[in-house]
Amino acid sequence: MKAQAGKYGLKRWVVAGLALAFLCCAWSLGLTPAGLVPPDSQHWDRTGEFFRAALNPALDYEDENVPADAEPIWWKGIKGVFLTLKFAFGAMSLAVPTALVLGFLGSSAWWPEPCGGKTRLILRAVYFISRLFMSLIRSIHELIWALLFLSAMGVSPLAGMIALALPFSGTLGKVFSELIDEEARDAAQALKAIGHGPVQIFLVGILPRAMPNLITYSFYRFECALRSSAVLGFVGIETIGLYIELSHEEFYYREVWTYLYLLIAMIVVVDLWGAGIRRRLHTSTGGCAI
Amino acid sequence: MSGLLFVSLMSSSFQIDQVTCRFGELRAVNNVSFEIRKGEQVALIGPSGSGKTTLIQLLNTMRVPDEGRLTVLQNEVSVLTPRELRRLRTTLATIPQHLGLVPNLTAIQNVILGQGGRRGALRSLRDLLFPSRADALEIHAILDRVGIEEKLYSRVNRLSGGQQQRVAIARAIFQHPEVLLADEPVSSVDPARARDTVKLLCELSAEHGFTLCVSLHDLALAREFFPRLIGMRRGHIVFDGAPEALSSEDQRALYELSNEEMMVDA
Amino acid sequence: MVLVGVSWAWATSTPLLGRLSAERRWLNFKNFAGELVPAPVRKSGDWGDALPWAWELLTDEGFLALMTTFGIATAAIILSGTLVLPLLPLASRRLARVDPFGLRAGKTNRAAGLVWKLSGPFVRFAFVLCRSLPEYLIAFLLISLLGLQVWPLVLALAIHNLGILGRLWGEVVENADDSAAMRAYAAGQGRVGVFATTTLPGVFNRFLIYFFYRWETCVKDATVLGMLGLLTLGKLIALSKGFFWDQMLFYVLLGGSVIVLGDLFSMALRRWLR
Ligand SMILES: Nc1ncnc2c1ncn2[C@@H]1O[C@H](COP(=O)(O)OP(=O)(O)O)[C@@H](O)[C@H]1O
Ligand SMILES: [Mg+2]
Repeated sequence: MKAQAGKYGLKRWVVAGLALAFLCCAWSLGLTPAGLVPPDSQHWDRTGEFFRAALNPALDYEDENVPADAEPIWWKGIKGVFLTLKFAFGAMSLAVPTALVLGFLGSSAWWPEPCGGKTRLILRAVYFISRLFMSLIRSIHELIWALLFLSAMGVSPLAGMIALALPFSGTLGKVFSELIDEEARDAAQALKAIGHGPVQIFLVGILPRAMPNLITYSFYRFECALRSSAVLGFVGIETIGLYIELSHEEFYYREVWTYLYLLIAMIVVVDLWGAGIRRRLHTSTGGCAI
Repeated sequence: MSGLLFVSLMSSSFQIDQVTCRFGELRAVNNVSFEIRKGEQVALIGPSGSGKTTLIQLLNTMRVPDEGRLTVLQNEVSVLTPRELRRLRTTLATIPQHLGLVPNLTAIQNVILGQGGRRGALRSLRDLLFPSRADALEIHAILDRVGIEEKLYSRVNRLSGGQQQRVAIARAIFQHPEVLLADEPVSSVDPARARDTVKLLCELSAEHGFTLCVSLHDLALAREFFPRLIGMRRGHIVFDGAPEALSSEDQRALYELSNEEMMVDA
Repeated sequence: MVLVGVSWAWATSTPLLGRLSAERRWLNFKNFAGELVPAPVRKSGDWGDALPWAWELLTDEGFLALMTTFGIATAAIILSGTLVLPLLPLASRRLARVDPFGLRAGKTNRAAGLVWKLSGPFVRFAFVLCRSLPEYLIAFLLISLLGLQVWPLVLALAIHNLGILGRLWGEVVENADDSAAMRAYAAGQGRVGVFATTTLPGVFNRFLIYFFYRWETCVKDATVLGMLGLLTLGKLIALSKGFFWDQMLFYVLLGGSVIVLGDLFSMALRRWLR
């Protein structure tokens, strides 16, 4: 980089370009400051009500028709939180092993050596095909996968988990393969030199070494999976998202806020937990968020 | 296969015949021939860039020669199948320059991987998680011999450079090799430690009867401990013989910069 | 712990496959797969007919939807980048304190001390809050308040990414070498000045890398935000779902290929920036 010419040099142009891009987008989408406030009095009222509800979330159902002996709303919310957690766990438990296999196929650190013409060609092919496959499955959003799967298999938790696991294993696999290939190769080389086979090198030489980063990144993706599984509630899978949508449809804003607070609390807790793990393993998501 | 197991008493460990190894145009090892007999202790000497690492990688079969014939423990390397190659490699221990330890495993786990080539993937995994008692005892004895028995369960990235080097040596010993190849094992430790390490390697070679081939930067160390020196310069062998036979002319041929090299450096 | 979580997730998820029998399910699936073939091809059996069909879908609405998707993502990520930047010096563990980098800042009063003590944790917690809500949920709520227009989507993406960029960029700032910044501070510059003139230029390229990574993600998310009713690919997908599976598949693949392109673009860019 020619950063020496002035503190910002080339970077000034990058910033100017981004500003221009923003104006272009805003203009073509018709974004005006006027759009930032509710359009009419009905929406104004609704906004006011919505934010007032934030201050006193429902501790009881707003719906009068709920039978008296139904479970209390906070219990239902907590159940929703656990369903969301469970769903994310299920999806991740599918995604991580798949991603390990894909990451293995999409990395080159374990290739045997010396690696002559034909073997090399096959390995290259495997490498590119698995990378292509990973980028294909992660290029489709989990909600769209969910739509596809729910239509094909009917609404079932398994379909939802697979829908969530597919793009996640694509992303995880890509990052795993890059983490694996970026680790220093000296240990892998040394083990190759004393007769370890490819799979063995991966299992005993490469995996333990990349483990802290893999764990950190998997945990980061677990946080994402939690958010996504909450969203999957909107296509009909029973997570806290479903409860939010149902309450919102009836304009029970105070119930919505109860669920929102629970959801936020869960994600904040998991986030802090992840920060603790990172500190203990001396890793940062920074290195591997890409 | 049977050739692999058949090793007569005075047979050779390496026969290397007009071997060349190229990187593009550069001949890192150029038309080299020599033989190393079983049980011999040889020091490879030469300035950096002279091709020592490449030669060691040829000897441990991680590279195949572009020209010439290389026979390792009676096996012609270029015709082996991958399976046979791996089988052969289990008998060749290598200590690479940067040691090649798995940093976040413990010392015992790293040492136990020395047998991994023979034991296969599943057994290695089991060994990592639940080392057998017999292995643990043997490894403890080896670590005791190399002087770090108290580090059995320490993670190697918490050990000092010298201790890590001992772990790498222990891994090589646990492999029960026919040959031990070490690439500049003392390049990153202080002189006193360097002398200890070289001495230890030579003693171990005598105790276990394996062939030892060590590349060294330091001529004095090589002369002190090794009965045979092979001097390399820009891919060629310029000296091969006992240390007493190394004349000051040979030394100059080994280490002095020629005119053209000085031009390159400038 | 993880094992417990996983086994709990699986053990309590019965019946996993719903109540349909296997044959029934297979029949459903076969019907479904048949419907994925483009309509003209289904009629004529000639894949040559698929091309004009795809072209029509593309020019009819697909292209417009594509541009909207791109526009939303770009506007949102730039917006959140602009919002995060001024917050970073307030969130930095080294800079946001009474004595930046441990260098004495002169005699200060109690209030200033308290403000600086709270600013870091406060801003960082605000980042956590912002990223804790999924963008789809924020957009859903905002649409009901602001009406069906583009702003809610842009805002939702911007808010969520504010939290994420805050964390990623924050980490870069924490790990950055700050000897130059210390020198500048010791030479009498203020906190913001130090940040803008020494820290920021130093980490600019890493910032850009994350910026484009998030932009890529935004494009993907903007696609599905359309399912809430605005003309992006997501809306087209949601509309054709259930009736025109072939069209739906086309739009899905269109969105996917756009993301693969964006992926390649930002990969090239990252390599250039490194
Ligand atoms: N992987 C490689 N690719 C290209 N050139 C190499 C490679 N490895 C070594 N070389 C070159 O081969 C020559 C010999 O290197 P090396 O065997 O490492 O010497 P030494 O170990 O004696 O320092 C050097 O000029 C080096 O630049
Ligand atoms: Mg070398």
